[in-house]
Amino acid sequence: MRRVLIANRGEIAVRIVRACRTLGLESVAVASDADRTALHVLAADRMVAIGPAPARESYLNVPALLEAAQTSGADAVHPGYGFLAENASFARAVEAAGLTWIGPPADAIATMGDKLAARVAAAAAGVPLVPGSEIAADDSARVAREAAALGYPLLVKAAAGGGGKGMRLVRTADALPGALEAAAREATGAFADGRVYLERLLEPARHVEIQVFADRHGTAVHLGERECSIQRRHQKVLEESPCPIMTPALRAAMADAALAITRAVGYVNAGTVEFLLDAHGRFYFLEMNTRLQVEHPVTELVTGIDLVATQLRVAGGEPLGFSQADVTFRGHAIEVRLYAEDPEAGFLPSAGPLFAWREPAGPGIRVDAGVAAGMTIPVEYDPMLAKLAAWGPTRDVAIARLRTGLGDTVALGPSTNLAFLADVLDHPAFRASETHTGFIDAHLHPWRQATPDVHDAALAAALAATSAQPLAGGSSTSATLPTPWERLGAWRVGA
Amino acid sequence: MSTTTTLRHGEHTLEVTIVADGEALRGHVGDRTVEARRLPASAPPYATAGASVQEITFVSADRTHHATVVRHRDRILVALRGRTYVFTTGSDGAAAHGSVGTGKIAAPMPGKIIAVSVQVGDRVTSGAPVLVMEAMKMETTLTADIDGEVTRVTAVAGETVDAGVVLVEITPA
Repeated sequence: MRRVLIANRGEIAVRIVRACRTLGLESVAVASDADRTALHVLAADRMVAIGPAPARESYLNVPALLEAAQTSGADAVHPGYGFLAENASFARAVEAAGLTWIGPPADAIATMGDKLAARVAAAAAGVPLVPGSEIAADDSARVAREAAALGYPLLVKAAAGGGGKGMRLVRTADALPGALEAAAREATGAFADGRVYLERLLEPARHVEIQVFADRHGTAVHLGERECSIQRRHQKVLEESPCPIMTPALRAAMADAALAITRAVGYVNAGTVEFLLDAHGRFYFLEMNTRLQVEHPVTELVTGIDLVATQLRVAGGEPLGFSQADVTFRGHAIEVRLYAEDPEAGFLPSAGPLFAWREPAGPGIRVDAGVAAGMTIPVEYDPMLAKLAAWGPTRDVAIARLRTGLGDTVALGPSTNLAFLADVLDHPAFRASETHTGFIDAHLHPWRQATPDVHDAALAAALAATSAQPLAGGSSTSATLPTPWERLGAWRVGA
Repeated sequence: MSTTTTLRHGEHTLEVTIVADGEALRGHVGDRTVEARRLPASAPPYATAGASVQEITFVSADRTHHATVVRHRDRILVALRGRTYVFTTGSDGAAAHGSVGTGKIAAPMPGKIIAVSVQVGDRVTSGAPVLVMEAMKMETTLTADIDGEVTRVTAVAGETVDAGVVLVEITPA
């Protein structure tokens, strides 16, 4: 393995470039027409254009990606998360083209990608499941009976689902037909697979997941847990490790269950087994994510293990190089996802130019960003701008560091959830570790941004409005922010 | 030197008068007076994507305020201590925001129409779903903002629309 094609964009593509560089591997970025000046393109050693902005014509376009690998001389493919990361046929196509797939075996992806098949596999491995359907909901009379037996509220979930897509919460029987239809439609659009099934809604419950890692030489270890209960629209916005209420006995039991599933499906590379943990300390299998997780930094911060570099090494055939006894956990890490979205309007995605951008810094702060000032946030893709994380020797210190970092962060242009994230961190229930998947609905909905400093902000606005106007042109004190290509061009020409 | 700027913030209008004397300045923000001392900017201003961006730093009541300010058309965005304050200048600046109860249901952002659930002549109540859009891979349901009768439907399932395009019109009952 010498040159890695990264079949993704944004912060995760930048993250993978960094891991490649630390291992002395070359990186190849791919870019849609909307991303020619994106950060991941600038970060990588090479770039290949793969098609128009819509994802299905670029980042989901398997022939274009394989051709990009061939023309760039790449010998391995890292899919990141999202897009084709959990697409078994892409994994097979990569291997059929003679390239190394940096991920789990295609069969394991296929089994776990079908959430119904995953439930069967987990049950066979002796792992408790969230009560729900055995088969897809294709007969409305049977589904109605099944729903009545499970009891409301319940969730309609897509068999091919992930990231909250194709998922609907149903509180009453009369809402079931509409929810089934909407979930099936969204699932068909997102996954080309409209099968949906039912699961009882367990609440209050914490979302707790176990990071596993297996090599090709029979070693499988866990890297502890992450709690990801703070969610909106069924998508995570804050993750932490360890889970604040974790005990050594519970961790051992959950890790045993996760590793049983891992071994049962012949898993290799990084994976995550997601559970719901109820108020009585009982846990239930939700699903296994057969890829790198968005929230992998919190695990890296508490274990000191570079998950992406380990993925690359394991895909290249190396042994893990550490055993379970070598994995130790130190301190506490918390990550928040900074999204271009409007928390006052149902977290509706936002897009457009990012005029100003400043990242936080300081002890224990880690930023995984996919944007820079002057870039435009495209409408075609996930609206996450960056992940902001903090490590501290204790949870309280991690919270204080992250909260300070949020205050230093500047993201002006699209609407963002920056102030919302600060309100999550400031909430007494969060500080008290009283977290569950209904946290935002219970405590921060509806949400309005507080405006404690509006008078000072107005003064700053008026001072800016009456200052020398940099847009007037020709002023010696103003400058035009170079586009990333201009910066890149100058650097290359000068090199 | 004295300058007055009218800023709208949500439903509020703030008159900001700045009396400057070198670095010292007095600001009248609404009914509040702020004595401040302006500090040099920590970074030069720049222009990008049709906007000007400035760092504004001042000391008031012994507290340092460091703001990043973006001016884009009639909007001024201020980042201060982790919060974003959106002001508009000009007389009709507030009209674009918070269009409550106009009966004109517009696309909140560019996206694709997934399904249209009303047709001309339908009676709808405020809050009733009228269509489903997909933007940035998430489905969003647009709802009626008034009670009334649907008098115009321009949305067509499968079509892509720009932000601000009126998709359904409802005439008050």
